Amino acid sequence: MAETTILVEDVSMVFSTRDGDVHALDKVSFGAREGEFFSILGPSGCGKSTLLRIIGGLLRPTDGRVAVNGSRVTGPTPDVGIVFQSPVLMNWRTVLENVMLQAEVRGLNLKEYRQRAMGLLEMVGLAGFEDKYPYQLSGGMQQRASICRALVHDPPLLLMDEPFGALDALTRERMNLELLRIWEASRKTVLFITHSIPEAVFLSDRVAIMSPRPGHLDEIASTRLPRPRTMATMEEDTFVKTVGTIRRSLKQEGSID
Amino acid sequence: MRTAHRARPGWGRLLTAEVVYPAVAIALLLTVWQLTVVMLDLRTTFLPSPTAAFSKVFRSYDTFLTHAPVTIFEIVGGYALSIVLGVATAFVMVWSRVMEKIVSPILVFLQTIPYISVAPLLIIWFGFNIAPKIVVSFLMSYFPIVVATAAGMNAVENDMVDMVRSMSASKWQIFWKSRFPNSLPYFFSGAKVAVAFATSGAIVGEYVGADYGLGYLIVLSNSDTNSELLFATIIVVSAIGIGFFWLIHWMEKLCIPWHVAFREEEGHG
Repeated sequence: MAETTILVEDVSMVFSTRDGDVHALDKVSFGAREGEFFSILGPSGCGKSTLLRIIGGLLRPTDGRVAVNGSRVTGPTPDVGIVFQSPVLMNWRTVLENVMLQAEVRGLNLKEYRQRAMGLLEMVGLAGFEDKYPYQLSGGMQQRASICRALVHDPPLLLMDEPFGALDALTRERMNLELLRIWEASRKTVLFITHSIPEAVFLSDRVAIMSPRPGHLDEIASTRLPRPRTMATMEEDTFVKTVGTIRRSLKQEGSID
Repeated sequence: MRTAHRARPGWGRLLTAEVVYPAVAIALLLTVWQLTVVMLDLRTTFLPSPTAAFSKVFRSYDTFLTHAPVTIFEIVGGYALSIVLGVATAFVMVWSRVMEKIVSPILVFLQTIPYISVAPLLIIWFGFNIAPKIVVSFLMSYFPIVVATAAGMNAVENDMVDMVRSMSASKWQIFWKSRFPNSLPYFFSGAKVAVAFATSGAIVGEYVGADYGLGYLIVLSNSDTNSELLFATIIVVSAIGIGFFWLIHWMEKLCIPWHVAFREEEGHG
């Protein structure tokens, strides 16, 4: 099997607040392989977003260690693209300029990456929208632009923090299909955070299940569904069974009432 | 998909909203004023009628041509200083927490000084010329620019900062790419408030001691109980203030066309 891209070992996170310490993460360990679509599934408040920020090097864990591509994470991880819950587009930049921010900040060749940005925008169906401002786009289109921004420098690792959580169910399904299409074309390692069981099963190779108070990892389930996956995948027995197994496991942990 | 574009307001509607409504309001006000003066048969020294005041502006246009440019120069000088130093101060405050703690109380102190009382001192310091007027104009307009700009630089979502940080950005890049552009709408709000203060600042500066300027004209007309000249001067000062305000408003439209206030088309989801 391919090498491990993300290695998380005994990571704990304690936030000091005025009301005392909050244990967000308790000794979380897992590894995601190169080219793998790995999801972290759990209810709100289980610390999954915190975990993503730690892997991205945006937060320092209280304890434990994280390595990405074999080197220990101490600051913002260099070769990573992050998609946040909200599109966080800059409303003073056009769609293309928003995507190009990544190349600008990283000091890449703007002419060369402009071409790549246009290609990505076309791939996600935003051709012709490159000179629009974010407010002229729908929520789904904005999030697609933010995915292009996370991909434009061709990072081997993509971190996605509930990227479709704010979208309506229909748009969300379409975005899932598009994401798989992009992933199959580029075969990046994806760490995907979600609280939707079907979404996690549909997209992932493996799903790590987390429970809150303090956030900890219960188990890692393999989905064993053939690729490429389509809408029909969601009707297969394996899909329905896997969703059911994970739901029962979350229920056991008290994450679902 | 947001593809439905609302048509831009036609010239007719624009004219109604931007010109007709304010014109009607002003005309109404002036009519009431004119009627009051005529019906109560008020003396000009007590309250000149608007027609008398406006005609005075034109009758004494050579006086205003001498004095208005001096005041305008002082306003421009004080206001320009405010913008440059105000934005710089906001930057320093946002850049360093320690500096914010040091600068904030000084700023509040500066803002609470009654400038009319220190203006004579400024004349002793800077001389009997336009410099102390520029200083008063600056002091009065500096605070709103600092406060508004600093607020705008701080009003960046955490996710936005994390997003730029994830690109291995330096502290300077985070500032330049996110905090600075984000502060522009706030800066312009502050700048519009400040331009009125800069105008009164120059007048206050001239009040205390000057040979030229519209503030000097106000003092002069007060001592001569020349109410007609006083009102004419007030009209000229207002016109200058409104002119500056529109200039800033126009620059705002030019600099931040993406801002919600200036969007030409509205999407409907």
